[in-house]
Amino acid sequence: MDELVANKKDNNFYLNKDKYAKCLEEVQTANNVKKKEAVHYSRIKCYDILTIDGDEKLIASMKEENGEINIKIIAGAIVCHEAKLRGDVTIGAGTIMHPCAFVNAEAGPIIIGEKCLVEEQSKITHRVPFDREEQKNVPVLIIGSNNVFEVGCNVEACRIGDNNIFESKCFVGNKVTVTNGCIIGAGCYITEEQVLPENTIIYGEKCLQREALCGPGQQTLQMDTLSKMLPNYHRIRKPNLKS
Amino acid sequence: MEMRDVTYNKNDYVETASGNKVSKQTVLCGSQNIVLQGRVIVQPEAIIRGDLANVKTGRYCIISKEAVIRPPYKKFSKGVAFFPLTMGDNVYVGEKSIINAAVVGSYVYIGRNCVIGRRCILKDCCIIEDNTILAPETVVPPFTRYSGNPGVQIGQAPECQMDFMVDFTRSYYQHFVPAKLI
Repeated sequence: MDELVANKKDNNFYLNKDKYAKCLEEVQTANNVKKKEAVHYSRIKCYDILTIDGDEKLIASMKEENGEINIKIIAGAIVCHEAKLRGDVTIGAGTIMHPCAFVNAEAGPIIIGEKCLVEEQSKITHRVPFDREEQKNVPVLIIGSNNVFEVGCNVEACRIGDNNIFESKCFVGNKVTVTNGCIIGAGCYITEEQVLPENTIIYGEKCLQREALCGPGQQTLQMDTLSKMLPNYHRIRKPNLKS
Repeated sequence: MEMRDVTYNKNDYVETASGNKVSKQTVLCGSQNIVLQGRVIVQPEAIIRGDLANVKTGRYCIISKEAVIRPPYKKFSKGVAFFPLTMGDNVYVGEKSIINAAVVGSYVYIGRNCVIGRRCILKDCCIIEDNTILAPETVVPPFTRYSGNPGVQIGQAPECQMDFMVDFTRSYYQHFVPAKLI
């Protein structure tokens, strides 16, 4: 063992017993210290402590930040580093995610299609309704392409088609199925179990419903501008899947 | 009536030479395009999108928690352009409001949870009540009071709106003080 440590030809990093104990102690103090410093944070970020048969062992940290293994970004998507992605999230090509957008796949995977626009503070949550929690097979939330999620919208719908616009501060409950070409107006709430027919518009204080003659126009122009501008100011997550 | 002191933790805010108090938990994108004229308070989790276009505020503006200031865009035949957003002096923006306006005049009061649609123009001395949603490209005339979804005029602002807002924002600034360590 000592021989291995001494002769550092390969790229591996070996811990001997003393170093292990020291590291363990550091993590322990870092966990206990109230006023944490940079050193402590870095220790907590990398390690955690698991007690096995009374023995304390170092393990890789189980904090949420490290749970990003399941995030798949297909080449061509622009996802800002400050966007929060939790759980199993797949982001399609050409999708733009602004900083501070929040996608939470707590009940099951979320697949976001191509050319969607997700603005800041919008919340896309995959949440199973209370009465269906018992079911064994985990549903997948599939979001189609060309959808726009404007600032501060809160969408929990169980299925979303193509070409929809969710305006600012709207709320879509988890029993709603959104088809294609729908517009959910600013500040509208829909929670009842329903399937929105194609080209539905929900608007106004009382969340009235009516049908449009044609769906909303596409946002390609805005997306083009944004895809040029955003990389100048933000760190972009590296895509990890090829299209 | 004297306002009560609102205290903040000195470590959580940055105070600039011109007296701006900006929380460290705000999201300022493209900070080189954001101009705060002085004595502006920006509270935690507010978002100012300077990366899209220039954002300029006047003096004594108060931007509350979780508010979003975001320059509007306009479609042209050859693409989309983002327009700079200018805000006058003595403006109050309530919590969780989204400002997508092109121009916000001086002495404007915007309540909580409002959505100011794309390229709205708010003239001086108007009041937007809580939970108002203004449709895109609305022009709000001076000394009016808007409310509802979609926002419509429901009354008039008092003639003293200017003095009232000056008083309100100044005393807010003066009473927004760091907590004294005991």
